[in-house]
Amino acid sequence: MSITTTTDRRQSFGDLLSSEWVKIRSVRSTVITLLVTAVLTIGISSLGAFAIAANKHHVNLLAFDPTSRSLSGVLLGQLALGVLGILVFTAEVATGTISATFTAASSRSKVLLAKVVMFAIVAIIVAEIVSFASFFAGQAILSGATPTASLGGTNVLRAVAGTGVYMALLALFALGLGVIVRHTAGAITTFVAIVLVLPLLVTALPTSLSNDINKFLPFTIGRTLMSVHSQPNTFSAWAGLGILAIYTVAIFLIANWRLTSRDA
Amino acid sequence: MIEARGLTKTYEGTLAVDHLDFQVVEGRVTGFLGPNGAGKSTTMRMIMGLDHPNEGSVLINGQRFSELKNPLRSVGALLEAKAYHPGRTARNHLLALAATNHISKQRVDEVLDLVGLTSVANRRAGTFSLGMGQRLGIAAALLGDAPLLLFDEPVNGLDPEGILWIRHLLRGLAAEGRGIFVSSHLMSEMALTADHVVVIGRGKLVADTDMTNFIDANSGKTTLVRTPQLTDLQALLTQHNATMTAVDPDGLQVTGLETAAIGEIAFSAGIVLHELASVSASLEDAFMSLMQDDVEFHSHTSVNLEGERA
Repeated sequence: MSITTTTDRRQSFGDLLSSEWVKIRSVRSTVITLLVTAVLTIGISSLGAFAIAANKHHVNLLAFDPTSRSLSGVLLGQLALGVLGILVFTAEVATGTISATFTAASSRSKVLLAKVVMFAIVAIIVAEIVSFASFFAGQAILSGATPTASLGGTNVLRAVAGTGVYMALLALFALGLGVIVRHTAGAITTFVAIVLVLPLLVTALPTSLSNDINKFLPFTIGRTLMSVHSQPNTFSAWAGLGILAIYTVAIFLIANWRLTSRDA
Repeated sequence: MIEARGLTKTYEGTLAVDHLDFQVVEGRVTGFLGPNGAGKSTTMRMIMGLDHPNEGSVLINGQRFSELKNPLRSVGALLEAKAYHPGRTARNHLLALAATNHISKQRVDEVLDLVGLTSVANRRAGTFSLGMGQRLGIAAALLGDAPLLLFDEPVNGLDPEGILWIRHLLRGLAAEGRGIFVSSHLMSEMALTADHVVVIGRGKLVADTDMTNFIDANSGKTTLVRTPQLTDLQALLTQHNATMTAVDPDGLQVTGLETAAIGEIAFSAGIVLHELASVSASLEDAFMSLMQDDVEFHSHTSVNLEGERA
């Protein structure tokens, strides 16, 4: 018995990263969730655009934002990508793979970081493709019926590319949630509650209060990013992304603490 | 060498592992025995850095698990029967693990061959039988060609052929100079596999000794005698301070006398013997006698910690 590439060097971050790559590409759930993300985002966005084009006489052209109209599918697509983020960790817990993973690595924090980096790469690529595809499909559908947007328009590129970043960040947030919650169903429920249910609950509050809270919600940040116009009672697009990034970093700090302090 | 010093683990106020001291040295199979819930799995998980000890330490070649340069190359382990994603192929499962320790694809194919999974390497592991899954877990443990190997209940749920295969594998790995630490609650299996034995009960060390010493020290020699003149023989042997239990109307289990002595006593009194056999003590007997005082061993009070972890 021999290991042909025996070296005395210490396990590197690259080793862990390539392991995560093998893992993410070797299960069907990756392909399925990515396909669902693409179909939901592009499909719902296109349906929304069709609906507008069919009812063009009822459209208030002054307020009409063809860019955000072509990105409406993100509302659901973000959930699918988030589910993949959650599965990156919870599937290992559910199947017991996590013990094999941890006994092959000397540091759990590095394993977590490798998962984050690998999934971030996959998520940002997919989210950007989906976001741009939705935009172009939407504009093609709207053209002739309503005004359309081009990437050169004011804030349009920021809105389309920013939406991709938003989706990817939110999916990373979901991964962090998965590490903390550990159970797939529980993590998905929590994620959906934060993204979709929380905004509904906040609307039940008195307006002054709901305006203050609302702008901190991921959903509001996403809506602001998709729009080329500035929205009332929200942070600017870039500030919104910054806040989402802070949430994501914060959740990973908690996730890392949970992962290293408790038994696997 | 694996060395545990004062290793202690508490779960919600209950001592699962209680100040364990033991060593696993290279070149022999060390059996890790104890009833279910004795703390075997917890101990193994602490060796592999999965559970944190509350007190004490366990070192692998003088290092904590987290200090190992390439863990798989220092210590390999089979801890859970199914520690793989059912949707991933056997080969991809091993490739992912191999990548973490910079182990070649060639080595992955080598261990697949070693455990006899080459023909199903590209099948989803979820389709595997229990035995095949166990082999995949063993392949993962062997991946790093480590000098120290841990196996937690490796024969659980295996057919006789699989049990035989694992026994040969473990003996072979020890013969190559590796230190093997294998847990089991099946005493007879350990008697055939292990050179050395570490016994725990309720988290405490009960014995840490050679296998042969262990059996000798913890079991009285027994002789089975059959005779149509049972009462005569019984009266005779009582005079020689033997202890007896009747096994059936004409059979006696005798302790406290050598087999030869029983034969001579019977002969000199003209008693006909139909059977005279020395019953070699089993590890089971040794274990039972050792564990007699262990409350948790009795089924009605047993706390199955390992079941909860699974």
